[in-house]
Amino acid sequence: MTISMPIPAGALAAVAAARAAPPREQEHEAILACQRGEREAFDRLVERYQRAVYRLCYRYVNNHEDANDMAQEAFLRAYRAISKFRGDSSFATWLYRIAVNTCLNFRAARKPEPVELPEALADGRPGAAEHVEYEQRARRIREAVTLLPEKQRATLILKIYHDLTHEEVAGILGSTVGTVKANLFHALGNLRKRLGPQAAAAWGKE
Amino acid sequence: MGGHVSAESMMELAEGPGRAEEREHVLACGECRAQLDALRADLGTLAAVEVPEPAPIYWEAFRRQVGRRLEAEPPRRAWGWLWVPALAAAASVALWVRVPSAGGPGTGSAQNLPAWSALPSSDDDSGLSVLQALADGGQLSVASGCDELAACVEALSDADATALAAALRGEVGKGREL
Repeated sequence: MTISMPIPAGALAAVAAARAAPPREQEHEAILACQRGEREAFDRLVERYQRAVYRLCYRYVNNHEDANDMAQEAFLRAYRAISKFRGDSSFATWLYRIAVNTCLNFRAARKPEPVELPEALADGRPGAAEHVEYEQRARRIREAVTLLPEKQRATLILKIYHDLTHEEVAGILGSTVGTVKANLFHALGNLRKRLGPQAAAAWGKE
Repeated sequence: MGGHVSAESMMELAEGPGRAEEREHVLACGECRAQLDALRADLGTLAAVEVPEPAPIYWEAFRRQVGRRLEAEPPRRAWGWLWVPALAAAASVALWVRVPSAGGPGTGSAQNLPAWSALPSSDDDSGLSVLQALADGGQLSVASGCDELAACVEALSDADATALAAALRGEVGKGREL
């Protein structure tokens, strides 16, 4: 089945521009412009990485306000340090290193947000109950992740949610590939212990 | 192999094929097999746990907020671009600082400069930027209100003049070309 619908002219222009300059090239140009002191160019980098950095921070603290603060702080630090970026690693890896350090230096001031279960449960739409159940389970797991020792937490977040290789994670955390693997192993073991004997069932084996 | 599979090797098996020796061990060892199954299940389950997605409008607001905070930052100095004119001006300053010191105390005034002084005019005085940058970096104090390189340098204390000379020597020593 194909879907046919009119495409706005602006969208075609955007696609043409994107094809003319692949994202990596655009990113490289933006980095060089920032290094020349063109502050506006940084906005392109923020746009490209804001979701990834925000999510990384969110997994550290499990609440939106702190994640928002930390993500902003990470971008500010990146901007201040961008003249030192030499391209030895990818920009993403470099930025994640800054974000992780920002998170490690951050002491969460807020408690995780309460889940608004009553409203959700009152939702009579099909699948609402399953959605609530999923949210409860996901929240419990996210909270357990925030309680892991820092290196284990950083390793797990970067490896599982940011699709980085062991080598990249090791580079970000200043450790070895072997340590990354061992940290991930222990992180999973700690999560299982923390989530209790029902963990296997609660983790989606049903 | 002796004993069970190590943590590191267990993760290699959980995330990929691992090594043949460990694969064989896991096939024969119920304990390791159970642990590997649990690890694989955990990885799959964790990967499926998303964070709540903010409303689409949030991202635009986020970018604006970062932009506002960047605007509030002091301008970032593009040092790489400053050094060529800076060193040219600095070489003149270094020469000028040395001349009065040879003539004894109290002789270091702008009047001692020859008419052909290489110091740039105040309108195009990149040396001022260098002095200001060093001052911003806490390396020396520049008198407020001075708008000419010569006047600023003249107002430097002996300690600051020494610090300036040391900074210049350091940069020249790095082999930067004029």
